[in-house]
Amino acid sequence: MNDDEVITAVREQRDKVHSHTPVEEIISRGRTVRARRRIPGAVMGLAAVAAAGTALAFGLTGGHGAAPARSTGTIRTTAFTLVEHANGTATLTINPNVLLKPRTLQSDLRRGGIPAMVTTGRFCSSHPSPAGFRQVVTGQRSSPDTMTINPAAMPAGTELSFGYFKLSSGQETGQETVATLIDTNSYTCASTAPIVWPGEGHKMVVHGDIVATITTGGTRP
Amino acid sequence: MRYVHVGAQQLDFAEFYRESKDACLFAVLVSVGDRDVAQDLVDEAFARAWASWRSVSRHPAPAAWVVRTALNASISRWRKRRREVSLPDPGKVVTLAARQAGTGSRLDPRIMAALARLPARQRQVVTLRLLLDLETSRTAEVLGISPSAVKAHLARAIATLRTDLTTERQQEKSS
Repeated sequence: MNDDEVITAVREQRDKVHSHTPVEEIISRGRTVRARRRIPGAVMGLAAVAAAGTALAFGLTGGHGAAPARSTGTIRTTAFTLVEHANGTATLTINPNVLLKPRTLQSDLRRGGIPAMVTTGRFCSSHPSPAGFRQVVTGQRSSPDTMTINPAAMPAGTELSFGYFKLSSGQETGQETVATLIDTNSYTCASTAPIVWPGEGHKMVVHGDIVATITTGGTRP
Repeated sequence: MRYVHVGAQQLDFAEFYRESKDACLFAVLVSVGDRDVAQDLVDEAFARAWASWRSVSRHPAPAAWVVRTALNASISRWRKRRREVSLPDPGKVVTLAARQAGTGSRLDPRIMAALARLPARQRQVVTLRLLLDLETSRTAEVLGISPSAVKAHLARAIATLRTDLTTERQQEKSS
């Protein structure tokens, strides 16, 4: 049995299977899917309000021991600071000198009403990216580690994808945090940092629908 | 003008559905093993594709989007039920699928079992390259790997399938 015979055998099996569901039935079901999506949009808005309220409550009670310190509308860890503003936006500041714990950032973002997926050594993106990223995330070139996030501008069925990479080249090290908007039903993940910044320093780079904060030029310990 | 645009979109989806529904169903059947479950997952995935057709139609491979959406939903269902239902044996399931799939022609349980036994990445590449007929470059784009990695996975998958099927044929002859 050669390769062509194997391929032919597999394709012959495929050609024996037929779906008999009429397209009208699929479209009818699709209308139900659309209707279902409209409801979570409203619920997400309420959840954001509830989450802001929760953050306020945390601010009153304060933190203990190793738990992140919280003030009113603020979650502060050694790796990042997330500040929730009264207008519904949030400011995320990454500390480039501390290793990020993805699960902590992901759960804190979600608690703040920002659907997010945070990965280390991996970055997930949709092709094409959902529209509206520039309305959801804005950077401040004067403060390369800070991104402002507007969860109200996120289309239904999307979430923010953050990828965190440790960079190394010879004796030099650095880190890169990349963010984009993804379609939760359709995305792929890659283990390479999507933006390569050849220079040294501390930069915020906006490339298409991706924003990245990059720090390079540190010396390997 | 708006009605013309929506109508054109519907027509576009209908054509996509007609051309890809059988291959998508087979691709999902290979992974989940049960014809009825596969049919429901694929119908739901196509419904989601219709609901987001504006963005899905711009995906590099909309059929791959449907298959992945169906398989993601399958994983979610399994996670919900895993405390109540034990995972079925792939070999038995594909044999059952081969019987169930009969719409006139029976599937070959040996080929279905061999496909089901492939490692996940190899099966993904076989699905995109052989079942959905995507080019190597498009497969690489969808999976987020290099074209050379796609070729390597496909070569390994075909070698494994050839070994599996040849061995079984030899066993049949000797018995």
